[in-house]
Amino acid sequence: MSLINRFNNQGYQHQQAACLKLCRVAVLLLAVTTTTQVAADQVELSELGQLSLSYHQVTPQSHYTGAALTARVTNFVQSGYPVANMLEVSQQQWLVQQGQQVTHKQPVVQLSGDAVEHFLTEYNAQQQQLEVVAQRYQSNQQLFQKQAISAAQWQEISAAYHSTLLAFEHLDHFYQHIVQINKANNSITLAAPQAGHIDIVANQTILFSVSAAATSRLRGQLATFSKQPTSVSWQQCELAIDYVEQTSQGFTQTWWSIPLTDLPAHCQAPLGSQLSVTPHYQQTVFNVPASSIIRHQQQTYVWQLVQQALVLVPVDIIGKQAMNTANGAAYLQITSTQLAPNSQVLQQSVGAVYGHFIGLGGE
Amino acid sequence: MAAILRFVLTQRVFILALTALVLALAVQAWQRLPIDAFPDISPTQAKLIIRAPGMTAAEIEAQITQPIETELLGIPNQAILRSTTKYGITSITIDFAEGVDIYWARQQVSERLSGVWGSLPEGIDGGLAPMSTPLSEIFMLSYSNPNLTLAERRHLLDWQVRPLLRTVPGVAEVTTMGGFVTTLQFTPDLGRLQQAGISLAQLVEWLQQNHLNGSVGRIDNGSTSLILRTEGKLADQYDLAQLKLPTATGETITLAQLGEISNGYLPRFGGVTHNGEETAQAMIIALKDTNTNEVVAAVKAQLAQLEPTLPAGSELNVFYDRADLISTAVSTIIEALLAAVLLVILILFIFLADVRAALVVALSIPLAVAITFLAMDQVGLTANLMSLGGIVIAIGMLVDAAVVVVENIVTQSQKQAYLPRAHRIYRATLAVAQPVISGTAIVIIVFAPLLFLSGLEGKLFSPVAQTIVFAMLASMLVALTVIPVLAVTLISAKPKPTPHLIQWLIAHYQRLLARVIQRPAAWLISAVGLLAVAAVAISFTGKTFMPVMDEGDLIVQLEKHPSINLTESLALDAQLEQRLLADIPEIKQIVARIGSDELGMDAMGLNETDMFIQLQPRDTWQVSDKAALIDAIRKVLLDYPGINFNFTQPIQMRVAEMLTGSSGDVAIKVFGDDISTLSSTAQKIAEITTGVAGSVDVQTTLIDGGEYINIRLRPDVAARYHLTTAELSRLIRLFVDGLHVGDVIHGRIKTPLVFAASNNSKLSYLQQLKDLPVSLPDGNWAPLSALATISSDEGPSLIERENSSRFAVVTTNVSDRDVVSFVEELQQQLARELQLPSGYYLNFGGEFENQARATNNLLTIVPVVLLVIGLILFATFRSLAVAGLVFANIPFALMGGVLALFITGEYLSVPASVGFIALLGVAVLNGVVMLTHFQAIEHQHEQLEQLVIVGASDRLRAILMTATTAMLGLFPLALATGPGAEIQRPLAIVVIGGLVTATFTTLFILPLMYKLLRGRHVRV
Repeated sequence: MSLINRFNNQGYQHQQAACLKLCRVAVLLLAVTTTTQVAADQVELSELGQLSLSYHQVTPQSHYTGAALTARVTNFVQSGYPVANMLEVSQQQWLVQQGQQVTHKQPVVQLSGDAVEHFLTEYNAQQQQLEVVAQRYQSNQQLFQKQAISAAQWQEISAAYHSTLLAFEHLDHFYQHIVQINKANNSITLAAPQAGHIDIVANQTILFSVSAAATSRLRGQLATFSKQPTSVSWQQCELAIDYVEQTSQGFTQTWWSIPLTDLPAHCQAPLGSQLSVTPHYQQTVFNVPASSIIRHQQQTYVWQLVQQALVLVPVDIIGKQAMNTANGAAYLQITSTQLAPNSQVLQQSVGAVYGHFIGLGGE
Repeated sequence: MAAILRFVLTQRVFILALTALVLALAVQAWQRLPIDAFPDISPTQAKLIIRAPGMTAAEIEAQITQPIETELLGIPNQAILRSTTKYGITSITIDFAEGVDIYWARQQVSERLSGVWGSLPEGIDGGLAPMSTPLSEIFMLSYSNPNLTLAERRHLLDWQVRPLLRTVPGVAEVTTMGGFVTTLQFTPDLGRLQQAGISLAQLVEWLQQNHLNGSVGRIDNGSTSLILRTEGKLADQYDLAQLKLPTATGETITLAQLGEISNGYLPRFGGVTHNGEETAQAMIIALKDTNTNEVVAAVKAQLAQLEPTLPAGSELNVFYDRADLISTAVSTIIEALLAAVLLVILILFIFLADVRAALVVALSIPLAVAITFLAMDQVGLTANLMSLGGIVIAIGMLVDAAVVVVENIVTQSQKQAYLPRAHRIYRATLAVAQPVISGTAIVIIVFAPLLFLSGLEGKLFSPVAQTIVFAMLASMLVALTVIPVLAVTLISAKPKPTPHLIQWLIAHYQRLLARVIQRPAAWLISAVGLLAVAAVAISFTGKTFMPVMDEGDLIVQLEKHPSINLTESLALDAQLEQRLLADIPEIKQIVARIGSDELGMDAMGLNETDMFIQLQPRDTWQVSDKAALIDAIRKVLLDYPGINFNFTQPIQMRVAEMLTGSSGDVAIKVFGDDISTLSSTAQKIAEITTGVAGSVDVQTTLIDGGEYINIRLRPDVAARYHLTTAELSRLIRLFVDGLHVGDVIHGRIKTPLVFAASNNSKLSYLQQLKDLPVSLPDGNWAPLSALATISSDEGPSLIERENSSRFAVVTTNVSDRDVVSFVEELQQQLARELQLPSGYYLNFGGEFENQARATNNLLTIVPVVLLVIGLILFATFRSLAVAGLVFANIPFALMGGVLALFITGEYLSVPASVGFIALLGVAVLNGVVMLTHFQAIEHQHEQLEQLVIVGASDRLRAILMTATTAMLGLFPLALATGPGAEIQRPLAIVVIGGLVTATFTTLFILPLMYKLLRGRHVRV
């Protein structure tokens, strides 16, 4: 209304300044409509009056962190020592927990039931059978060398022997894992064939497997064609990336870390556990405060201090550091071909400097 | 009339008792009168605020604003439909024609909104804003406590202060702002969700379906009835953590197993700083038509009760209190009123030289004012700057009727001493009753047309006219009823000699008038010459719509670049505040508001700040005046480039926005469709405007400059993986503002339940968005960039519309010249230099619009007033020539007003124009007084010159007394410096100046012209 603005006693000089300002806005708007970059994207410090200007010195860093990835503690492919399931129908009493670290020969499971008796009987039978067949094989072997028996007979004896041997070894391999037999209640106790993490499978073919610690790794997915991290970290634990599989699952590729073996105890995540890990990429980057970043004409920039001027330098943000406060004080990781190492980047009053650059300011 | 007078004089005790009763009622009425700074100047207005989280201005305009506007356009009696659309919010304001009932208007808008709501996008909220006016922001406070976090302070304002103040009668809304609104936040682990085979949508739906209490119905249990209900509402964090969900494999899993439950914060649309430190504030919005003073007092009482219960270290810091302004402004006007009364009484004593007579006349003032208060109470008029100003303006005229009656009583008492006292008074009063009524009628007729002014000037000056009319009627009533009764007791019948001063004046006047009559040509030429000087002076007098009222405190409006974020905006404001506080000792404190509150009552962007500057008491200032202080602040702000700024005041800002949708003396709106074209055209207009002399503060609304990241699902991928845009939006929103899925209610505290990413996972740069993992139905995931095209685009950050047409606005203030001539020059420049695209057109608004409307109104009213006066004059004199003579007095009266304006440097404004209208009445009244006496004594004098000199001398005392009482009655108003005096001052100056010349012409030129006119017809 008019209880109207009339506090203004600006003179001609002020109008002239305003005119210049508007002309500048017009020029900038024109620039927006074209793809031509404004040649001298800079602001002289002398134009910035009493604005508080503070700077952040950018020092190159050899790596940067990316957005969190999901990883899983997994055994390396087929790396477990499997123990076959010879007793399809048995009562299983597991003496360890899934994923637990076991030592060599540590009792793992107690199997009981009729199938145990049947197995032991079968094992003994097979053992005796093998002894008989082996004796026959050895005695006839001499006869065959003396050509006392025909080749056809020897072939039959030999086949019977090897067949029995194989059948026995099949049982014997399982039997070797037995550390305790309790015939009174028809139970056997199996032990871990090696030290490592136990993976209870308990399906028709595999009863369990034990993976050596050296085979526990982190596995995760990366977007296909994305940059490959050199390592991942979580809770002050860091693990190098071993390799990225060359096949893609459509949009992603699988990466594997090196084994978790050498990590401190607090980093030893249980097998199968899922972690949110921060990938680290090997690339020279600069850390800058988030307040340093400005968008101009759909491109990200920082103001670099060059002598007595602030120059708009295009940058790409590729990562960020964890925020410290609710207010969002954060550092971003940027790359730039134009940003000089150890240069000073404006971190305070960035919005006002940009406002001045596009022609704002004054009454 | 005779019967009334008889009754009055025979029932004197009854009349005096009645007078006492009226006085008592008037005291009550005064205590009851709502006191405010201004009359209610707002039109009948309904405002819709719709929030659409995540939607761009262009999307909101297309999907929300336009459909609602289309629906609202059908409502009858609307004056204008405006809308402002920004990121996430649209504000639609509909102004109705004068006289439309606010409740009817709101009902209409509400019905139309309900009709269209179903077709609007999902996820929006809002509706009809509280029934307030733009001037309803009556009380603001910030809350500081170093022991509490910002979130705790905000929580306390939201859940302790706000509910308490909402109960105060007259409070429409209490908006809180600043700090952080605490939420109960669930941060889902997308990997675990995928592992469990639960999609985000399923999770949200499950929560919403289970987090409710359902009403089932009743069952009959024997002879009783039992109410059945289902319970599922989650009460707290523990309940939320234990909520069980089915997994894809048929197992159950708790919510806690699927992510992290913590306290988070709602996304912020604004913030508040106090002296450079972030804080939280509350603002009290009063209902329309409430008594501001009472509401503020009740709010303060509630706060006083609340304060001891707040945590240690708490401080409720009031930085805006409308009651202060009201108190200061009303004090200014009351002081002027009292001073006027004293001066008028002094004049009465000097001119009448009869203490008793003067006392009787003086008593008419409080009586007339008391009856005026009663009338104001009856018609619902508030006591404000304008209505009380009307009484001050009328003070000088109030006594006229009583003076005439008392003077005649004194005269007739001396001549008819043989009659009983009461009878003499009866005859004397009856003899002047007709002139008293006619004189009052003329004044009322002069001011009555102001009652029909429209627009803001009508709203402001209608109360002035009403109180003047009430006061004049009251003075007439008192003069013809109470004054005769008082005269019976108080006025002495003994003859009083004419006072020496009057004798001296008459003697000098007669000599001077004789000289004038002897050299008519010289005097007439001089008078006409002075008239010509006045005509020249008026062309050099600036013109404005209304003077600016000093509201005491200041607002500096800041505008930063449109894409600035809240953190940076807050930091810049803090920087400015600290510097202003350090450099300007006159500043007591600064509270700055950035962006908008949760209600969106004032939908500002994050780049906009209203900086409330509360000033120290004036007697402590080091600078001379407010203009110097503003210059000092301006100097500081100019040291901070890159930030636009503008000075305004709390009421001034809201009134400007209410009337034109934008602030500034002149608003040039360019209407058209394309935002870029509008923006570039506005820039060109701004350049041209800047080049016009007198333009300052040229501002162009930053409608362009918004950058949008567009994410569009690839159709083939979307079809293959059953991905929908809705699901994708939901996922991305999780990483941006979070998903508000419900509220957890604990007692009266409602905590938003939000699904949101952790602070560290929230999206903060483009590459992070591109890499955002999206779960696929086959158990795999893909980065967002593989599923959607992500592009960057520039678009409008703000879309303003008026009557369904987009526009861009350029505003400018005008300095050191009048607005009208500025706009004329600007229009010529634009016509020459601006080539408008086809379909685009310009519209000029702002103060200029008001000025133009006011001029049109006055150009209609003044001829009507003159016509009515002419009719009265013709009826009085039965002579066109004599009536013409009285009319001839008018330009000389106006001349004084013009010269007074020119000399004092005041602008020609609406109040000044009202002063000119008042002058019409005074000039005509003086002319009538003089010429009727000439006619009355015509037969007593043979010589025309003698007739004129004697007749004029007879009327000298009456005319001088009338003029001086009127002038001195207005002097306090002309000299007043307090807040509120600015509006009445031009009026007072015009009337005082006009009275000087009107009195001179009445006393010298009018007799001269009468002599010249009647020269041939008088007996020799």
